[in-house]
Amino acid sequence: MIKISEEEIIRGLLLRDEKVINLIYENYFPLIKRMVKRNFGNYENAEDVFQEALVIIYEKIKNNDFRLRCSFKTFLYSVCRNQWIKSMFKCGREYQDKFFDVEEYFVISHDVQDYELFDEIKIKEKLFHKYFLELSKNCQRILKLYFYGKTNSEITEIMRFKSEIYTRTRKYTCKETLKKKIFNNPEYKKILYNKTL
Amino acid sequence: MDTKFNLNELIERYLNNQLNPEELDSFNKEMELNEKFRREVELEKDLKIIVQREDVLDLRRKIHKAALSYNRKNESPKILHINIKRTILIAACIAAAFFVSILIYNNIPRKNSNNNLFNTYYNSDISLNLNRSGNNGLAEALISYNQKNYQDAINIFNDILSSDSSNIAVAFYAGVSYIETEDFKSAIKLFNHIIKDQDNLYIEHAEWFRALCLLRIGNKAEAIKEFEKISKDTINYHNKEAKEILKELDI
Repeated sequence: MIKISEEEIIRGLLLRDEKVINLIYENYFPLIKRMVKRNFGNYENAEDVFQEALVIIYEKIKNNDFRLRCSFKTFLYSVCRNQWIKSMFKCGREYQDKFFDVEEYFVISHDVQDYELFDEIKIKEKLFHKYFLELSKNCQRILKLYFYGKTNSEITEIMRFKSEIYTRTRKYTCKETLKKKIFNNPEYKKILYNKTL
Repeated sequence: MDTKFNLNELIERYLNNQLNPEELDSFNKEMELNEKFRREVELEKDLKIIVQREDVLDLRRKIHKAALSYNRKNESPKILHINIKRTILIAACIAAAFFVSILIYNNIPRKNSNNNLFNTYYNSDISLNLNRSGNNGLAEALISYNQKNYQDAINIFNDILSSDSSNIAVAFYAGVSYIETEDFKSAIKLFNHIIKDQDNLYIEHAEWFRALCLLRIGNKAEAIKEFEKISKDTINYHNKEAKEILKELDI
């Protein structure tokens, strides 16, 4: 484990410093992976929980709403733990009473209790970003330009495409790919289903 | 494609406030009446907001990169290392447990009945973690399982396994369902299948349940071998329980 101070972690997260993010991953992911696996999750669940926890902490730091009253490790563990419990609860089972912590000395930080980790917009954001990042670099650029309000003619110019018709078709194809992936996601389907109830 | 393409452009024009009053009126009517259309519009609205959260998108990109780098550096060699270590450990445990089990089987009186121990240590309260997407049968099986209609669940789990025997999660819960219906031999078969697969997340639980099943059907010597193995694997999920049950068995 490469040592890194908590100040460096917080500053690095705020700046989205790749080196710091890599160190956080290497130092703490194994712990979270063990926790999730011990509680009937899989590797992918652990990756998911870890990513969302870092995003939550990043947003707290950015909004100047982050007070660390325990070690970063404990805090991160607690956010991930809560998130995994809630995620399991959403799948229809209550986990809290039977949760197996991986390190008994952990005192679960109460700082995380107020966080609403699973609101609809958070789930949507996680899914949209996930599938957006799976698109080709060109698709990502086209859609970003579009979502930032650029017209077809501006996108054609910026992307150096041969014609506006080509841009419209490319944009349509990229958007359809993205939307199809989102519509097919079980979590997203669940949100839509709940809305129709 | 043409209709969808045109519809897509219509939505774009709506979101950019470019529809004339007539178009807007019919657009709003369509939104009211056509749920699929409304979902398309809402998704596009949400996408616009969320994709603009560039800092979070950038953070996720970097976390994803860190995950890939971590996997490259750590996971592959680690899996290999664990497997080799495990193979040696299993071989050593089997050899040790073989002698211990002969000794126990022949000389030591029973302190607890196998059935009592099984009932004490068997806990089926395991939450389901199966991917339900695209499989209606699985959703049905999960409902039956959760409602404790284990025989119905078994039938559906078996249907799924007959077309996809690699679905280890389904095999595991089918195994647990067999235990619940007291068909321990069928349960053992499925747990063997999971253990043999060697590359899944259910191995430790399958080993533990197999050992309990062996105990329950009276194959105490084999069960003890399994418990010994688990009790020597300090990072095993059921390590503590295995040690306890061995004490109960007076080992």
